[in-house]
This record gives sequence, C-alpha cells and structure tokens, in this order.
Amino acid sequence: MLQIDCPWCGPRAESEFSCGGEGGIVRPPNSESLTDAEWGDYVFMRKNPKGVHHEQWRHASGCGRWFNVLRDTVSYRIHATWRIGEAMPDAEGQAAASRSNA
Amino acid sequence: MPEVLQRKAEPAIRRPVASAAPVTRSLLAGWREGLCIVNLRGNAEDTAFRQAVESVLDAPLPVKPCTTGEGSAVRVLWAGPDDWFIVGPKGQADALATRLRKALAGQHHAVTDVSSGYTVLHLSGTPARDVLAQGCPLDLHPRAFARGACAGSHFFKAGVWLWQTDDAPEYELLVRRSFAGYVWLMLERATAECGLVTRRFA
Repeated sequence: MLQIDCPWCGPRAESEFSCGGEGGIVRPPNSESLTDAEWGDYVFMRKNPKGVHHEQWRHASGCGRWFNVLRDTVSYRIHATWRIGEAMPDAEGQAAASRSNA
Repeated sequence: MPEVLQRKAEPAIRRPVASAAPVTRSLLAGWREGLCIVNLRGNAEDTAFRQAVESVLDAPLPVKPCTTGEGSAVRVLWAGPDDWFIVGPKGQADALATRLRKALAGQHHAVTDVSSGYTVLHLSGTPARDVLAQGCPLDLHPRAFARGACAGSHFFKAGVWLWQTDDAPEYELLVRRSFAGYVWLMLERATAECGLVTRRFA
C-alpha cells in the first residue's frame, strides 16, 4: 500500500484516499466564446503519461481536502504533495510534469 | 503461497508469570448513545470566530491538524482546516447549537446538530490497539497517537473519527449511525481471538 503525505494530516495509508485524476486543470474563464472542440478538450481530454503525472487526490476518510500529488505512473513513487492554491514545490520530476502541462 | 504463510514457532515460548496482576484480556466495547454531536464550520484564522467559539465551549478550538481540544464539558475534534466536531454530554445538542449560533451571529459560520446522524463507540482493554489495527491503517503506537490526538480514518470499510480518551488505552470512535451495525459485526469478528465484552453506558 502506498503511503501518501496529506498536506494537512501527514503520512497516511492509501486506503484513506481517493484519486481524482489529472490535477492543475484550469477552467477557462471565457467559456461562452470557446469552440466546441476547445470546451471538449477542457472537459474530457486528459493526459496519460508514462512517468511523472500531476494528479489530484482527496483525503476521503480524513480531512476531506483535495490536494495536488506528483506521482510517477511507472514506479508509483510519490515525489511531492502540496495544497490546492500553492505553487508546485521543487521536487524530483517537477520539470517533467510541468512540461507535460504546457 | 503457503510457504510464506507458514511460520516457525517461537523457540522459547514465554509462559505467563503467575504473580502478574490480573489484566482484562478481552476488549471492552459499547455504544455511547445520545451524545451531543455538533458540527462546526468557520474560518480558523479569524480571531473573532475562535474567541466566540471558545467562550461558548469553554474549551480550546484545535487549529493544529489532528488534535482535540478538551474542555470541562465538551471535546472538540479537528475534522479539517475549517471543520470541527463538538462532542458533549447527552441531551445538550440543542442548547449548545443555539448558544453557538447566538455567539457567532453576523459571522461567516455553520453550526449543524448531527447527533442523530452519528454515534460514538467506546473501546478499551489491553487488546484495543491490536483489534483496531485489523481494520484501521493508522499508527496507534503511543509514540505516534496519544491522548489529545484525533484522526479521520476507516475501520474496515466504515469511515470513522478516532480519538484516545485514556492511555490505558481507551478509544472513542465517531461512527455514522447507519454504519453502526456493520462496525459492530466487524468488531465481533476482529475480537474472535481475544473475546469481546459489551459495555453498557447510561
């Protein structure tokens, strides 16, 4: 079982968390002027990298907060966790995840 | 793989010392029905909010994650950065919620009486940690979890909030009422080796 470092509660077992897929997706402010393709891209299209992935997780049976996770989809290693609204911390794999978000 | 599961017996089995004081080998468990359980939401960084709450509860409002505040009558559990459970004596929920709403009038807050939605399970006795460990992934070693700490976790598949009331050890679990039957069933199974003694609370 993975041990995930909740930014509020500290290290806890994976069974207390739920994964919410790709993180850091910003809702477009001008949704009324978007084309169907652009809106569909925001709603449906997700990255599926082999390597470091920026994800959002929720501490479901603990504090109930959503937070960001930098997880390697190959090794399952979690490089960093940080709160929503904070900047991505300096961590191994950060550059790869930032590049994949660009 | 059976070869992994097979374990050799300890070379020297320690016999129980005859002169040792008698200890409860069974787990003591019982529901503390009807306690006052109030959910409080608000901004922990707002000094006015904290002061208003603390003046009503006569207990510190825990702002540090996974800690509790103990007052003369109530216990306040941290349940999130803007979320608390207040556990108090039987029949006090209405009065407490009214006093909190009055003190917090005009401020951004939410006070909800959730006494009917939750119930509290009392666990004590020597095997309490071992029994909990079967269904709960928390580190309950006294070094990591002692009186004054609380944690949201799960007991088998049921979400619980857990805190320690005594170092004996003695635990209390905040359980959703609809999960009470399930939690008790799993407790009976988890105590198959040590035995379960039901404790009744007035």
